[in-house]
Amino acid sequence: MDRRTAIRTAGTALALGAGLLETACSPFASAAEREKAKLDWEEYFQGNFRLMSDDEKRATVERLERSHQIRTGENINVSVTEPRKGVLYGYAFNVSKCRGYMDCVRACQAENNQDRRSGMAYIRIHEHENGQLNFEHANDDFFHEVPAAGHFYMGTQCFHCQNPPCVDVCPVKATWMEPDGIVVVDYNWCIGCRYCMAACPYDARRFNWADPVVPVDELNANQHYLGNRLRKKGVVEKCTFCIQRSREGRQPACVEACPTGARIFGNLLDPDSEIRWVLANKKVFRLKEDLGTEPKFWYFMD
Amino acid sequence: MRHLLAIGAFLLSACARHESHGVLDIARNASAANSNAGVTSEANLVGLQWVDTGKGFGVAARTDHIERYPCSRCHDRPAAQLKRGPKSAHWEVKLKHAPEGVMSCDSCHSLNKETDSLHSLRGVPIGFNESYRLCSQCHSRQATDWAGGAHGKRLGGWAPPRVIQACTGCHNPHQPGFSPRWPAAGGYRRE
Repeated sequence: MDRRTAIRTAGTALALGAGLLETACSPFASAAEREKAKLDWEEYFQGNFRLMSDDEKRATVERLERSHQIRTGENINVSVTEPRKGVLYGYAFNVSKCRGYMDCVRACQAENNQDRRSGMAYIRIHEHENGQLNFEHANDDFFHEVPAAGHFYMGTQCFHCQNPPCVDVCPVKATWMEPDGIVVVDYNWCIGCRYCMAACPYDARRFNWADPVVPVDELNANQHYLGNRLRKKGVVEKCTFCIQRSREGRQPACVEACPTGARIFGNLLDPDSEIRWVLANKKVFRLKEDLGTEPKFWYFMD
Repeated sequence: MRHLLAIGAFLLSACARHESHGVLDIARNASAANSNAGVTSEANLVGLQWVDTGKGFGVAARTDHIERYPCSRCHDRPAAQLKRGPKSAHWEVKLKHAPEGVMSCDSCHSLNKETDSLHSLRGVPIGFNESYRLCSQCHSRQATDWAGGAHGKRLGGWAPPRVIQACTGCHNPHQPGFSPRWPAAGGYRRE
């Protein structure tokens, strides 16, 4: 960075900070407003989640919880539950069973506090004509009685590649793969450049073009820092295998909601898990395997 | 220039030698001992009644959810001797299972003795909680997938203990097929 840019950047940061600081120190602002400004100030300068100590993590989520409380009067619970050793999450999708009911999509939106205004959805269900497997000719925006005659359905979402190209291209290391295989985003560190969206071969990432809107009575207050906590305008988000649920031993919301049992989730390192049985006993395939991305998401048929 | 080429060739060969291990290798090489790190689904199964199948997994209990169970409250004698005659009860049941003429009530239900259980093809009683033993007589392929984990639905969480829906948890045994319906969401991009 040359000197001119450095000065300009510092100047901008200072001006922005001064605004926040003014509110924080102003004798005329109410106590709540001062606290809010103080929290915003601290949040603005918080570090990358991966570099935080346990104390810093705790302080960060407490700040998020308090900030939400001041703004909405509602309480949320933001967890930072760590990955566990001996767990690597994997997912299988039974193409024969999916009937396009979209209960998974609905459950995912409710669980993950996705923007209701843009109808953001991590999951896409693609309606293919029988005898074809070409996503360019599939319809992922159908709305009619399902299953439609002569069609089959296939869901896509983040495949949590073991070799994720989205992570490689992030210029600020705001996205990474956790030791339990979940690819996550630090929404506070993301600068919104969308390189990851361009790098993902599976259309798995979503961008917040506007401030996400989630009605207060629909908000899922059970949150994880790397999962379904509220995002801001200008950041990328994606499926996290419902990190706030899976790390507590629960199933992702899509798996739980699927009425046909087309979705299977579990620990790849557990030889007795259902996912391992599927991998060992069914003819499985992945999308774009030739890219070497090693998705942890397999398709199979009865 | 020649040096550069040499270095390039060396780098290429180094890359080729460094074989990346697929995620399946990682899974296969995991030792059974450290799996799941003590995570359990116990907390997520609280409130659910389930029975152990003795095959390493459990199924959700059924009998408590059957409205008029035990059957013997009415079926205390052979069906033909019941006062009110055929179809004065259970009139709402429409049988749409296998081609017409294949199934009838007594294909699965016991109408004359031990009416509180179902029965196998050979007349061995099978409890309502063990419906899978009945269904698997014909649907053996589904039963294999179900016992393994490729068919059916997990309850609680992904971690042990494994508790799953029995056949009748998802399928109405009288009409086991799933009906067409409108999707729960969709049509977003049409704005």
